[in-house]
Amino acid sequence: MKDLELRYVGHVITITNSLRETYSTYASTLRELIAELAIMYSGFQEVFINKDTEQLNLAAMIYYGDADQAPFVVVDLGQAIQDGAQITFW
Amino acid sequence: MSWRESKQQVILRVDLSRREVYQENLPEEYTRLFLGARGVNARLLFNEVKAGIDPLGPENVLYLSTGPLDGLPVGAGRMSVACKSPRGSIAEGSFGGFFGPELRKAGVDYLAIHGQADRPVYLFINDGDVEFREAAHLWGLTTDKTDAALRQELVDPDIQLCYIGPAGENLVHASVIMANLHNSGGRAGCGEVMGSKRLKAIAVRGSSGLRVADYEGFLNAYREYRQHLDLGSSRDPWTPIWSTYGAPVLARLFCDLGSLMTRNAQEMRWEEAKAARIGAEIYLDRYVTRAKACYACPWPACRKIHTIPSGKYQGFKGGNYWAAQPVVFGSLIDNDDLDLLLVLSGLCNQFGLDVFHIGYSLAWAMECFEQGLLTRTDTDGLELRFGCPDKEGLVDLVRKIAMREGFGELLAKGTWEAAKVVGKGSERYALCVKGQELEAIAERASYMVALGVAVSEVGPDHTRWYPPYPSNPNLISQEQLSELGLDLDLRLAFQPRNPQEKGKLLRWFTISRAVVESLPGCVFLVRDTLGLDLRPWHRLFETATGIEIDYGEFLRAGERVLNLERAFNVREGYRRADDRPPIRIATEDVPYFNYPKLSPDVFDSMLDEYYQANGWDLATSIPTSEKLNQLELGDVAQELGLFAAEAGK
Repeated sequence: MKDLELRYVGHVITITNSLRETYSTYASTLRELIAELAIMYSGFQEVFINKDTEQLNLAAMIYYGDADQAPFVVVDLGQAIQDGAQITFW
Repeated sequence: MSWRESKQQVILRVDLSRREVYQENLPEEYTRLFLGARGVNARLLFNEVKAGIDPLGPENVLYLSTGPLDGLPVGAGRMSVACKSPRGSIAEGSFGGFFGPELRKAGVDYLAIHGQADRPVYLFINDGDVEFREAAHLWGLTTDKTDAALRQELVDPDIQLCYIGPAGENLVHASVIMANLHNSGGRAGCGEVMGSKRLKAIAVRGSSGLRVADYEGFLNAYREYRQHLDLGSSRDPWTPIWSTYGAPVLARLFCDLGSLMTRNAQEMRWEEAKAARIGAEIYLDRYVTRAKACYACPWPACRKIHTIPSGKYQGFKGGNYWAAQPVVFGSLIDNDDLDLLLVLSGLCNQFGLDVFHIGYSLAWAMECFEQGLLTRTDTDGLELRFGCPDKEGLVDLVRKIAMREGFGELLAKGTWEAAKVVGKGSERYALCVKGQELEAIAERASYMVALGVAVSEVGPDHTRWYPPYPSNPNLISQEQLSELGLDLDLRLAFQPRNPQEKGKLLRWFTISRAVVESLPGCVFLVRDTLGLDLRPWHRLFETATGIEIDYGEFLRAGERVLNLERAFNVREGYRRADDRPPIRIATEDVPYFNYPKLSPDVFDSMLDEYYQANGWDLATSIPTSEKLNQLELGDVAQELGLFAAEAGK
């Protein structure tokens, strides 16, 4: 089980109805995490995953940072997620 | 209704000393060589403002310039203001809104203000007719009161106005020109220069239509351009953010990235809960009363008008809560009270102060106070600490800066000059380049920003290289880049703290943004691939003006502008040593995420790459004769030849 710090920015909060949450998951990649979040937040997957290419939507952005490490822009949805990571969706 | 061709370019020269007006056509080749706005300003400044003149004397010229796309429906409502800065360098900036398009519709493309009035005046330009009007009754008024008084006097609610506030009148450092209450421009001192000329305001009304040269071609180019910016088709995460929430959303994003300059940039990560309290989401929910876009902008809600809904400042109205304010009136001074933030920002607009000057001056003074370099005796009794314990005192201090009263007199000189007065090592806390305060994006988190801020001819100015990050590295392929003649490894170039490729990347940014700002377009609309592939802008220019130039020549216009601005500074004595980041950036590591200081060796390697890519002398930063001649700037090469002996030392 991993505990993640999730942040939602701008229009994403119209889906999540919150700015942040601590979230526990067994997901091992960002793709799996997005699929899980989409169960709670309708429309979440469509914002972040392009239905034709199944890759990150070019009109969305995700920052990923392991605990105490500088976050970076996610390009690959296969990005592994670690316990304590901070992930910003916008 | 009369019509003007979009390629028509008229200069209106106003001599305030003699109260005379002249009109002339812009030399025909200028549109091809410099495009318009910022580009033409650079050419005119180099020609007409001689080296060594007193920036606050009658020899300085203040230019307010539109360009060939101004007034057309492409979000091109900006205009460039330029002069010699009171700091000695070139001063250039731009403001949005509606003033530029209205000026063109009045038959004027470039306005050059010469001389110095013997008493306060304002100009009324009505379809090309110019009146000098007395402004003694306006002198001393804040911009909101000036705006109301002029609208009443001219009995025209649709008139477009720009003016200075008391800060410009009192020659306060970096004071700006304001247009229609909420748009500011020319932070390198254009407001000071307008004040020195005793020109309080300019009112303009125009009734002409603007006609493009190739209507069908323009329409096609416009449709292509909108594909990059519309919500349904744009491939850029900033599009929904910018067009709904606006720029203050950056507060939380910068905070998450560890890029939010906090407590005078001693730290780069503010407490997350504080960033959320001043964030765009709360602003939009509680404060915004309506959206207010610039002329014909495709992003209708990029900017907003707001009212403070409750509390001590209930009813305080303002506009343009933008990317800068969450930093300069938020994290930089450790203020998480959005009411106070909006009041400080609103007062800057009312007094005509530069928000960066005020934010960085306050942060510098707070650090000096906490370090014991300033005491309550110096600050008129104000407890000037991070966290803003004395909010009322802070609000009053902003007024005192504009009026040059008490402790405000020291900060009215600007942070760098104030630090020189206080001494005792306080220069270390002054975050300035070329005497001008930094802006909102953190240098130690992005080396390209550090380089861009340091080399900018006008002092720190994000519009010269915005945006510093790609929206997504997959947006454009390496093959497409090669097609565009961009010899860049984009993935390497966009690694924020890797010095490789930063000089070449910045050169592309400075040249391409000079092109956009000369059309003029808004650099915030340089999204999707519009920042790397300028061909849609090129097609808009050609179809609007009917002037056919190839894409390479279009980009060379930007290079010409950059070289002219650099040449202006060289003539005023600026050299490589002036292209440096602030002391703190170069000497202090940052807690959180192990961001190191930007060491001189690393910085110099990027600077060498930048000069080399530009064809400038590495030792001095002076453009070489060969480069200037290539750019058809032979007269500039000749003038800079006087400094040739310095090169290569």
